[in-house]
Amino acid sequence: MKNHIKIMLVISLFFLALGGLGLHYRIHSIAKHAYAYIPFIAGLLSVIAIPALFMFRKTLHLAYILNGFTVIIGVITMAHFSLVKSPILPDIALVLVKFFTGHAIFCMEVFPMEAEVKNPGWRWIRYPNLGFWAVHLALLSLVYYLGNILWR
Amino acid sequence: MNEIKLFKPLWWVLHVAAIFLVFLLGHFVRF
Repeated sequence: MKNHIKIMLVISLFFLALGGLGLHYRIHSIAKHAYAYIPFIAGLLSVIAIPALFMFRKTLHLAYILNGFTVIIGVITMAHFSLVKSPILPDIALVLVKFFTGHAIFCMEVFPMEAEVKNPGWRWIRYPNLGFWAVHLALLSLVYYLGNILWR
Repeated sequence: MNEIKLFKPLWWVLHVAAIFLVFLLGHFVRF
């Protein structure tokens, strides 16, 4: 059953990414805007590479890291878009679904299913806990913001 | 989680490259 649930989660990740790629492709044309390459490349990665990498134990960590960072880039750029153009908060909520689906697959593979969830304490901010992603979201947002305001 | 301990130089290369790329992303993305 565990394997079946894992495959279902990988398929949901695939379709979620496919939906994201399709939406971005329709809204932001590569011919018109250079920035449209960002969701295009991240989308291709999320549709083709990430679900495939999640299928194998050897590449599970790579899949988890790529999944997390594509979500972080998505959250940061869409939050930027929300601030300067029009609010797209529901879209940010959707990309978070991708993150937590990936996190669920990772936890299923790495931790025993019957085990109690341990409180990691300060290690919450260390990989692969959720705090690791919170810290990286905060710091990469800062780097992106500095890139946006400096040397203009 | 011992398997995720990264080789130190790789850790630095990844972080410097990521900071550089995200900085450039912030710099060039103009909506």
